[in-house]
Amino acid sequence: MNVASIKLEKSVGRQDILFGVARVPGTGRAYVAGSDFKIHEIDIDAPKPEVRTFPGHDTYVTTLALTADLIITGGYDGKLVWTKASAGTRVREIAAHKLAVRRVAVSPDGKTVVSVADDMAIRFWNVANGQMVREITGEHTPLTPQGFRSMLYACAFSADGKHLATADKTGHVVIWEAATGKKVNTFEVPVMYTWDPNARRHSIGGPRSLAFSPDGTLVAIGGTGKIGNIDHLEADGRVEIFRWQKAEKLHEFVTDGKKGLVEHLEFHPNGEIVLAAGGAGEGFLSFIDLKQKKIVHQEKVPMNVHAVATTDGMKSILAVGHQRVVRFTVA
Amino acid sequence: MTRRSGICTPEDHAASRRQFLGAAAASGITAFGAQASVLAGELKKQGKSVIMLWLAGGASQLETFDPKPGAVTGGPFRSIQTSTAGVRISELMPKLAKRLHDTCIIRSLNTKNADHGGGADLMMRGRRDEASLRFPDLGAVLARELGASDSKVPDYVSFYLQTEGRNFAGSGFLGARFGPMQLSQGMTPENLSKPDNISASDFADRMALRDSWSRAFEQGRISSSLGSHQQAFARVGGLMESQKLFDLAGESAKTRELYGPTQFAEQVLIARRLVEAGVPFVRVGRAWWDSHGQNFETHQEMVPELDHVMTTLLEDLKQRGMLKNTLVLTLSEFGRTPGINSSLGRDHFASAWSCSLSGCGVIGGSVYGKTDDRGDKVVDGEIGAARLFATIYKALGINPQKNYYVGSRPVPLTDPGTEPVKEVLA
Amino acid sequence: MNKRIEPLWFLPLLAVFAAGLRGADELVLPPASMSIPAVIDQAVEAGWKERGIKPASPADDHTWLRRVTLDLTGRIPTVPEVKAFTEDKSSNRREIHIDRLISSPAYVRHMAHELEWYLMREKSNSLLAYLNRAIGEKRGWDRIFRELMVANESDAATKGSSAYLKPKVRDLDRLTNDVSVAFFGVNVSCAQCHDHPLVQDWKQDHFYGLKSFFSRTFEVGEHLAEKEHGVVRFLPNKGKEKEAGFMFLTGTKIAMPGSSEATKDQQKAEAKKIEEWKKSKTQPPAPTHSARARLVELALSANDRDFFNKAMVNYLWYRMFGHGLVMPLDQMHSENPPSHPELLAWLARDFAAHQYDISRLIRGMVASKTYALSSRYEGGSAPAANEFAVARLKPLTPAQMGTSLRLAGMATVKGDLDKKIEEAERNGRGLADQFPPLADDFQVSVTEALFMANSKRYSGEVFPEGDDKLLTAMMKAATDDIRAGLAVQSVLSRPARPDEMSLISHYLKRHGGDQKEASRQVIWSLMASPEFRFNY
Repeated sequence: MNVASIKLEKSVGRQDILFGVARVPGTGRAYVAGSDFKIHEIDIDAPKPEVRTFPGHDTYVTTLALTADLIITGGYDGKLVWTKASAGTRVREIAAHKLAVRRVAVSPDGKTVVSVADDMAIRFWNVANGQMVREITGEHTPLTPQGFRSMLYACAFSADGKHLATADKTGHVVIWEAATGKKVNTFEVPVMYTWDPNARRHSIGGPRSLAFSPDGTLVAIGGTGKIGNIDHLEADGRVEIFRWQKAEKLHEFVTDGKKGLVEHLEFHPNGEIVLAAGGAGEGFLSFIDLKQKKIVHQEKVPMNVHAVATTDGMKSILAVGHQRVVRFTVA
Repeated sequence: MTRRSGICTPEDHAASRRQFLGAAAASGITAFGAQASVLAGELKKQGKSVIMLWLAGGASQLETFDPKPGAVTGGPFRSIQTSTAGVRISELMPKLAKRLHDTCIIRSLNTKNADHGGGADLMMRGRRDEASLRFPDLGAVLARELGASDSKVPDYVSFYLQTEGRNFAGSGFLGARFGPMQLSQGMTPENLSKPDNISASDFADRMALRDSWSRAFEQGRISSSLGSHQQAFARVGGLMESQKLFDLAGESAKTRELYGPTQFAEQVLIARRLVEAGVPFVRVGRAWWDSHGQNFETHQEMVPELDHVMTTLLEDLKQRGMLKNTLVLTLSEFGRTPGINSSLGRDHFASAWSCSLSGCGVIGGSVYGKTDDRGDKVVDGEIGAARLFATIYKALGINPQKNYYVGSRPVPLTDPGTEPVKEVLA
Repeated sequence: MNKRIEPLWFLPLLAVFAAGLRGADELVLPPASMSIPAVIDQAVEAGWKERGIKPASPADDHTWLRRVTLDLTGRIPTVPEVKAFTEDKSSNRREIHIDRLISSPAYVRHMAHELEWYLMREKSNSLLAYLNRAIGEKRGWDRIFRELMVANESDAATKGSSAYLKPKVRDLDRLTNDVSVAFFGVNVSCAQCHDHPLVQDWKQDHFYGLKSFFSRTFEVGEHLAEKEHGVVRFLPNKGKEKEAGFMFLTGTKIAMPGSSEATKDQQKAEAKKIEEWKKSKTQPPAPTHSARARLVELALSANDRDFFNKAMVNYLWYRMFGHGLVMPLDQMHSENPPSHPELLAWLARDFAAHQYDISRLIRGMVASKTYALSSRYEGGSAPAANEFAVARLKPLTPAQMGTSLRLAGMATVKGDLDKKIEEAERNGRGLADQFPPLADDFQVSVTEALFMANSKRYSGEVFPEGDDKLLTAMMKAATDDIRAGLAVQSVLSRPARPDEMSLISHYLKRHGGDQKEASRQVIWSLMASPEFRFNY
C-alpha cells in the first residue's frame, strides 16, 4: 500500500456530528450515527446520500458496530440498541449502563459485544440474545486522582478474540482475558491526560482509541499530547505502542502539526502500518510505519474525524465526524 | 456608524443640572463630613450577606440551567425534572434538581459583551464604566452597604486561585477601603498572621505607640482619607483574629466531608464560615469554564462539582438558619454558544444565558425568562446586567436607586428607571 | 422625551458660557507682569476677605520642607537636607530651595512619573522614557501635547511618544475621551449624558467632532498610521445617521481634506500603501493632511486654546494644593465654574505666555504663601476645600511611599545625594507596588495596614543596617533620648517634640531586653503613622 498516494475521493456535508460508522461489506453503503440520535444508512456515491434512517437513542449515539446483519449502537443514554440492518427494525434495547456508553466492540467470532461506559463498567453481552455475560467493575476508578468524574473511553478486542483492552481518561490501560474477565496486565499513558491545577483547574484529553496488532502482541493507544491551554485541543495527536505482555512501551508517535485527539486506530493486516485518525478543528489521517518507526504520511481531512471504517485492506477509508463524511482511496 | 448603546440618555437622567456640578458643594462640609452624614443617616442592613459563585470563563447555560435536549444545539446531555413542576434542568445537576425550592433561575440574560475582560467588568458591576469613572463592583458596594465600619471581619473577600482570567478591579471610586481581601495564592489571605519574629505583646505595644502618633496628628485635622488611615489600623487586630475563619480545622470532619475535598468545595465552606461571622460579601471564583474545545467533557467534569457544592452550601445555610439572610449567586461573564464547534466546544455567548439566585429575598423554585427552542435568543423576560443588579440589591433590602457621590455628582447604584425583576423577588 | 427648552431662557446662559470660554477677555485680570505667587495669594486672600474666612497659620519650616520635597521630587527630605535648610537663615531660602529641587534630576524623574500616571492611568512604564527626555529638556506642555499626538517614532527626539496613543487606538471612543480629559479637562462622553443648557445634540456633535480627528488613525503592526481619508458617521439620539464634522470643543469647525468619500482609485492606492507599510515594518509616514496634527493646531490656536491652557493649570494646582480650582478635574464647563475664575484665567494666560513651561508654573505655585499654610486648623470647623485656607492632606503616591520608606531608614547621606535618591527609588519599587494609586477621596485599605504589620517582606526592607542607616545609628547612640530624636528625624523629617521624646524613651526602656528589636518597633510605629503616610 502506497500511503502517499492517498486521495480524497468524496466529501459530503451533513447537519449532524457523527461518532460511529460501519461499512456494509461489498457495497458502497455505510451505517453512521451521532448527534441527531438516529442511525443512518447512507450511500455517499448516490445522488441522495440518505438511504434509510432508523430510530436510535434518546440522545447522542457515541459508537456503532456492525456484526452480520446487526447494528449495535451505544449512546449517552447508557443504552445499547440492536437494530436489524436489512430490515431496519429494532431488535432490542438494553439499559446497559448508568452513564454514557462510550464504545462497543464486537468479538471477532461475532458472539459477544463489549460495552464500556462512564459508569466505569465493562460489560460483555451475548450478541444473539442480549444477555449480559459478564461485568467487570472496580478496575477503572470512577473518579480521577483529582476527585472528578472519570470516563471509560475505549475498548478493543485482539484479532484472535482472546484479549480485550480498555482505557480510561486518566490513561490507565488494562488488558483482560476475554473468556474469563481476568485482568492480565496494566500500563499507563499519562501524557494523554492533562490535569491543569493552576490555570484552569480541570482536565482534558484521555486516551480515546485502542487497537491490537494482527499478531496480538502489541496494543496501540491513541489520544493527544500534553496540553498547555486546556480550553482547546491544542496539542498534536499521539499514539503509543506497547508490548502489552510486558507492559513495555515500544514507540510513541506525535502527529506533528496535526492537532487533536486520535479517536480511531487500526493496524493494517500486514501489521506494519497503523492508521491513526482524529482531529480538533480539522481532521487528520496519519500513517505510522512500524518498521521505519515513524509517521510516513499525514493527510488533512476537512473535518474533525470521530470514527473511521476501512475496507479493501485499508485502501478505502471512510471517515466520519463533524458534519461531514469523506472517503479516501489509497493505491 | 456609531450608536451609543448602553450609555445613559438625557431622558434617563432626570437628575437636575445642578446635580453634577463640582463647585456646587456650597455647604462647606468637607468630604469627611459628607461621608459621615451618609453613613450615619442610614440603616445598616446588618446581617445580610452574599456568596457569589463566580463561574469564571463562562459556564454553559445549556449544560446547567437551560438545557435544550433534542435541539441541534442541545448536546448529548438530557434534562431532568426538578422539584418544581414544569422546570427541568441539565441532568448534570441532579442534586439541585431535587432541591430547587430555594433557587430562582434566570434564563433570559442578554448582556451583549462576549469578551472575558469586558464581560467580567460588566457582570461584576452591573454596568459599564464611564470613561473616567470607575464603578465599584458588587462586592465593594455590599461592603459599604452591609459592612460595619469598625468590623472585625473583612467586608469583601475574593477567592481566585487559578491564574486564568483574574480580574481584580474591585472598588472603583469607593476606594481602597472597600476593596477585596484577595486570596490568589492560598486559602488564607496574606498577612493575617503575626510574624514569628515579634511577640504578641510587642505587636500590641508597637500598635499602641502608632496610635498615639495618630491621635496627635489628627488634632486640628479633619479628612476622610485621614480617618480611613486610623480605621485601617484599628481593624488589624480584629482581622488577624478572623484568620481562624479561613482554617477548615474549625469545621467538623463531617461537614468537611459533606462539602468534599476539592479546592472549590473548601473555598465555599470557608465562604460559609466568613458569612456566618458577618462578612457581607464573599466571591468564590471557580475558574475556568471556557470550553472552546471539549465542552461536554469539561462540563461533565465541572458541573457535578458545582451541583454538589452549591446544594451542600444551600442545605448547610438552611440548617443554620442563615439562608434567609444570605443570597447565593451563580454568575459568569457570559454563557456559551448554542452552536457546537468542530472541537465539540462552545464559544462565548452573551445573548441568551443564565444565572441563579438562591436564598435571601428571592422566590425559590422558580424560573424567570425564556429562550427559544435552540437557545439562540431570549423570547421572554429579557434583562441585562443592570436589571439583574437592581434585583440583587432589592433582594438584600438595598434601594437600587440609592446615590453615592463622586464629588457632588450623584451616582445611583443603578440608573434611574432600572426596575428590579419583581417576579424574582419574594 | 427630551424636555423642550425655552429658547429665550437659555440665551443669557449661552452668553455666560461664551464668556466662560473667552474668560480672559471679560474678567478683570491682574497685570501680566505680576509674579505667580503674588497673583495666587492676592486672589485667594480676596476670597477669604469676601467670605470672612480665617486661614490656617503658616506651616513651620519642617512641614514646608517635607511638603515641597515630596511635591517636587517625590520623596521625603533626607536628614542632611532638613538640617541644611533649617540652619539656613537667609530670607529667600525657600525660593532657593525650590530652585534647587527643581534643578535636581529627581525632579525630572518624579514629574515624568506623575505625568505618566496622569496620561496613562494605569501601571505602565511605556511612556516614561519619552517623558523623562521631554521634561529633562524642559519642553513646554504644548510641545509635549503635539509630540504625543503626532507620535513620530522616526525622530530620535520623539522616540517613545507613540506609547500614549498606541494602546488606546483600538477603542477610539475611549481614546477621544482620554485625550479630552487629559489635555482639555473635559469629559466629553459624560457631557453627552447630562442635561446642559446648550442642548444634547450639540454635545453629540462635540464628541464625534473630536473623535473625527482620531478616526483616521490605526495600527499597522507595531506602529501607528493615519489615513488620508475618513470621516465619522454616527446615529444621533434623534434623527438619521449623520456625518460628524471636524469640530473642536469650542465649536470651531474646520474643513479637513479627505472628508469626502475616497474614490475607488484612492481606496485602492491607500490599501496598497497599507500593505507596503505592513511589510516594511517601519514607521509609516504621516499623511499629507494629518487630522491629529490639525487638532493640535486648532487646540492651541489663539481663540480655542482656553481649554488646553486651563486643563494643565488646574491639574498642577490640584496636585500642589490637593484640590483643583475646578473640581472634578474633568468637568470644565460653564455650569461648573472655577472657585477663583480670575486666578485660573490669569494662570492660564501666564502659562501660555511663557511657552507652557511646567516647572515655571509649579515654581510659582509652591512659592506662594497659600501653598505654605499649615494643614492644621484651630478653632471651629475648617473652611471648604475650595477656599484654600488650610493645606490639604494628600496621600503619598505608591512611588512616593516606596522611595520615602527607603529614605526613612537612613540617618544620613554618604556620597552623592541624587545617587542615593535614585537608589532609594529603585529599591523602593517593590514596596511601592503594595500601595494603591492616587484617587479622589482616597481611602486607606486594611490590606495596607496588614502588610505593614505582618509582612516579612515589609520588615525585611524597611529596617536596613549600615553606616548611614537609622537602625545602626540608633544602636550606636548613647541615650534613649538621642535614639528617639534620630528616629523622628529620619522618618518624619523633623525634630522630636519633648512629649514624643519621652514616649519613645519610655518605650525603649520598657522593651530594653532587645534594643535592636525595640528600635525597629519605634521606627515601625512612625512609618505606620498618618504623619508619614500623608503629605500634610
